[in-house]
Amino acid sequence: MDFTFSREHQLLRRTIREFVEREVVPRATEIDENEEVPFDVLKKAAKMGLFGMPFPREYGGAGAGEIGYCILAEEMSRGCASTMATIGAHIGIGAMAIYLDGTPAQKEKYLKPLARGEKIAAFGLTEPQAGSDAASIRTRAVRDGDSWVLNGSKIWITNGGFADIFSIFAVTDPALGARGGVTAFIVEKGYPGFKVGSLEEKMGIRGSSTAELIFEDCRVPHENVLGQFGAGFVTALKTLDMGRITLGAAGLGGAQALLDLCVEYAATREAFGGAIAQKQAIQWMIADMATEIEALRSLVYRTAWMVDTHQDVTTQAAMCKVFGSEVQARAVEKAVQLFGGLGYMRGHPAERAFRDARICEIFEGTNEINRVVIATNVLRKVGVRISA
Amino acid sequence: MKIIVPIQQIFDPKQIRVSSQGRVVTGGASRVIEAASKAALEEALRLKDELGGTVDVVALGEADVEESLREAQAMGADQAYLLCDSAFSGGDASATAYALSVAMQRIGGFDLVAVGEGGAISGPMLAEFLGLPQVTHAATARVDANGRLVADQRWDRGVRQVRVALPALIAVAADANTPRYAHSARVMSVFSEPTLTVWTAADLGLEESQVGSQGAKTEVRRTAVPDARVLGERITGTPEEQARSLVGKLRAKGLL
Repeated sequence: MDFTFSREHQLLRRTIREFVEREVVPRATEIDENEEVPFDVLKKAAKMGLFGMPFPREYGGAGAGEIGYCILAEEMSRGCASTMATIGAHIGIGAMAIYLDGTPAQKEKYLKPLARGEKIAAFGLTEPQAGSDAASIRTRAVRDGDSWVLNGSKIWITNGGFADIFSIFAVTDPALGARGGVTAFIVEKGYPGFKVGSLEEKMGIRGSSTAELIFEDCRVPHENVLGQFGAGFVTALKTLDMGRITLGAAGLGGAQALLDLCVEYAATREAFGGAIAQKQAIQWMIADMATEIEALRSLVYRTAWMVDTHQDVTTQAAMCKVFGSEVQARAVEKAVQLFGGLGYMRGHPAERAFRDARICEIFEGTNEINRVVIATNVLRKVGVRISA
Repeated sequence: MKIIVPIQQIFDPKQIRVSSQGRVVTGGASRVIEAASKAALEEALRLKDELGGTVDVVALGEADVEESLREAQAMGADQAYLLCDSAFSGGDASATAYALSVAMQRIGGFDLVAVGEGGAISGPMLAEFLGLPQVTHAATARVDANGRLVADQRWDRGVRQVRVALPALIAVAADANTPRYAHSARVMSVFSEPTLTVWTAADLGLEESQVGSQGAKTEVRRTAVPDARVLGERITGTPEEQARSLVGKLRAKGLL
């Protein structure tokens, strides 16, 4: 057993941390305030190869594996949750679906520019009546000669407002539903019949784009069927497994950033004639945060290591998502309390984190759905089958 | 153009602190390339981007200095040389510059040495040992039509342009440029590339008396933390208000 990061991953972390501290942190407040996707920052991130972090070098990636991608998520999230949401939607689900199930030709055409950051990806599964109940999607795809005609809409799609390439899930056989009747498609922004609908205003991660996608007789070439025909739901679930691990890493970065702030403040803020770090009430907050963060770090990187060593991670990925988002939520709650009035003020990092962190318990499968995933796999071992 | 850049590795200044007894506490701090060394490397890499050629990096220190040399390679440097030997330990600026100069002569054939200014490696000492003309405080280095190096020396009140025949040495201050970030794919591959050479003192034909503590010309008698500076008070307002306020304060102190 060896818990040491490789020298490559250590240097990767130092390089990304320097980038985040120099380029992202100084912009984080403004990105939130102005609801502005920081395209200039994303361009610099693309130039240093961050957009293809886990993908092999043959596809324009960095070849840093899931561990490298978790390092990116942790470090980026320390600086700006909005920018992490943008990068996460691009790498972790949008491009990941193509990496996991794309044909060599699709990877050549789509994954390469995505990994190099020349194009941005998004992942479209959620619909107005199909959130946690993803099997209820209604967007329909009907074959017409050499192409498929898509009709329907997707909502709350991260990067939706500006992405170039979309992994879209549509019903190809309503009778079969999720079991064989859903197919994934690669849709380009410029395809006729595709348009971006309304852009959402959000409580947090305001510097990320969340959009509605509308398909009106949108023509998609047959060669853009992603993965096996009818197995789109499998592609979606496999992809979400990967996204959930990095959500855990993002929660880790968010929580660690708050702990660092709290520790520094507790050591310097004086009350009743001494630093508040001397007060047991403060010590317990810090001890609980530090303990949970340490446990989360172990879970996240062990799961990432399991991915890189080709093990099944569905259960652990759901655990990363649930635990990561909730450790972060508890850290945020404590941080605002520890900073007192200061932490409640607009523009304070704890205030922004309070709004940014909340979505992590909701998106990429609510924590309730992820608990169903965990329980299903745990109970299966004693022969209990959970009915949907 | 062949350029050599000496690299200094230090503890991350953001992660070290000074104890109440005045000792520098480095426990757990990560090691980074000194800012001035990184600026010198960036200056060299820009010349390479423009003119082609190579940028080699050389450092003196313990085995873990490989991390900084590999980082420099991930940023775009070619060959790396590490001077690693217990004989080198305890050296001062002069002993270190001498060992580095001997290593650079062994590498040979270079047109330019770019060194960080204001850091642990002394550019002027290196230039003396190498017998090279030097431009200190250099920025935006370029090569003119006659093959001479042109560099800007930025001072408080302007810029002085200096031309120098090659081979030469430039000393680059930490704020001369903004160093590039290493590409992630390079970071992931650089450690397994056979482009790092380790030299001992004997490999370079150096005697123990010439390097390290024995070769040092200075000795550290005492280290101390400078007293915290008391910040001055800024008086604002119209010139008249400022004058009035200043006179009031001087009177209050019994100075007027």
